[in-house]
Amino acid sequence: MPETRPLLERVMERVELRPFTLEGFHDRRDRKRRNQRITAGVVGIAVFVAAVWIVTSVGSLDRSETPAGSAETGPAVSNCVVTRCTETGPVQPTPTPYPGPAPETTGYLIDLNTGEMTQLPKSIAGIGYAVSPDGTMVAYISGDNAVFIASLDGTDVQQVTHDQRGAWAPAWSPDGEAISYASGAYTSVDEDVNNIFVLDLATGETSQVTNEKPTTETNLSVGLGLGAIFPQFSPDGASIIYEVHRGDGFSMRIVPVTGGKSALLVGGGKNDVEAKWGTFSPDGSTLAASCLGRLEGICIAHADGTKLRVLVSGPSLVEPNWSPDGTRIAYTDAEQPVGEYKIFVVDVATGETTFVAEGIDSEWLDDHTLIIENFGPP
Amino acid sequence: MGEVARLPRRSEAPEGSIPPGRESPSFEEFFEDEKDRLLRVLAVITGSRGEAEDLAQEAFTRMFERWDEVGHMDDLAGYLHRTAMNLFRSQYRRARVALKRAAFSTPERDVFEAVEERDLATQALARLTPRQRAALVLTEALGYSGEETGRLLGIKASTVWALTHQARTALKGTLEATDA
Repeated sequence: MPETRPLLERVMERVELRPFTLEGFHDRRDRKRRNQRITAGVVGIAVFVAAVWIVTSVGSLDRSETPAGSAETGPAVSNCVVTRCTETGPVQPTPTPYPGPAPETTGYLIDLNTGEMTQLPKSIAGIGYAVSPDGTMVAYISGDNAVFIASLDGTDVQQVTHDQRGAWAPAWSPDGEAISYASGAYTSVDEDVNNIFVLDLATGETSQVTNEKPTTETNLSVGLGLGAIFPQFSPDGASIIYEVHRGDGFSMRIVPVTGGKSALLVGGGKNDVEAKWGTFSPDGSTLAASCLGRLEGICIAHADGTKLRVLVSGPSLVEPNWSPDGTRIAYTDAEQPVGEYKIFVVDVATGETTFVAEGIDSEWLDDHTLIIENFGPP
Repeated sequence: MGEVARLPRRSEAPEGSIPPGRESPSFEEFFEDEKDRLLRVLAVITGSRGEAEDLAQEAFTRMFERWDEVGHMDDLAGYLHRTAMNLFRSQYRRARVALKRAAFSTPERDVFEAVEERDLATQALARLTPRQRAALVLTEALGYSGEETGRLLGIKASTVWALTHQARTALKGTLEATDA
């Protein structure tokens, strides 16, 4: 057995480095600073315009309170474009190209018909938004990786998980009475893995649904203990599908919501395909997922995983989400570096795709409104 | 396995150190002196050249932007490594980003794949967890103490000891099994 230090030195010497020059370092740094300046400038302009709008609105309101007989009337205070987002503040102007929200906030609404955008209230700033079945609430991750729920107008904020191992990827049950989420591996250097849990919102009771174990293969393949992640309820609420890597590639599995034996739906190297981010259509007839391997892009299949086929082809198309009417799927094109991802919508019947905005994640609020999630430089 | 000699830290090593009386290096000199070693350390810990490059870029950027303050430090290489390891920790604490990074990419451990077939030692190292590799590299390749390594990784010194013990045992087992 050789000494450890010479072994490490030998391995490090054998790492085949790519060119990392001083010139390249400065180029990358300059690009990042330029992007930050642009973002700051756009945010500054947006803040200025919003401030001017508010001052103007207040002035108009004051004038509307002038003595009877005045012909002036003030504009409506709310300028939100989406139901239940009233009085959250003025709508930002619609610049081209769309700059995205301020770096410290992560979510905004976009009306697909008009292109109008509304920043979500700061009180519900977070990531991984999931809209409740009745469209009135959101679940999201905030704080120290905990699940919060709140009304879309930013009120009634409640932290509903308190697990020190963190929690992410919340999803609502079809009846809106429970939330599933992944928890277990707080950092990549943790040797535990994530599993899927279901939280009963009425009682606060949590039950573990999956029982994924750490495997060397997972650590080797992915570099961190992923385990079971990104749960989604089936439309009947009886099952949960989730993503897992067991050393044989990413796969979508389905498990009863009460726990027990899981079954492979798609991926896991079956037919040389890996699958991630699976989600059922609202009527439960079709499964959409992000595929890797022989099939690459946004795939759809029968609910049992059969007849898997590509709907939109591409190397890094991820996080499909069905529109409530089941006719379209929003997804993220992650081909570009982090921070430059793009959100598209595809018509399931025709395969026609439409660019929506830059962002890392999307969630349907209703058939014509998306919540877009974005964040600034890491 | 015999006792492993403590590797001098970069600041103590003849190469790259600042001899008494000599002026501090320019950032450019420092960059050229340290970039390859930092990249190799990070590549072995993360298993990914891409991640190693991202972390190295950010670590050098932070030093560059504070060069007037930090450029005169005796242990510049140590400061660089601490910065890089802090970034390594904070990067992965952004759980969502970490999940996305892992989820967007196909399994990536290009560092080990490149030599895996022809180097049994590398193969053995690749089978360690990132945390075990980090503990091993920091303590044995970079010469940090258990306490210092614990601070860098955000874990207890006793955990560092346990991780390095696990790593050595695993390496020994893999190599002996291969030799048999």
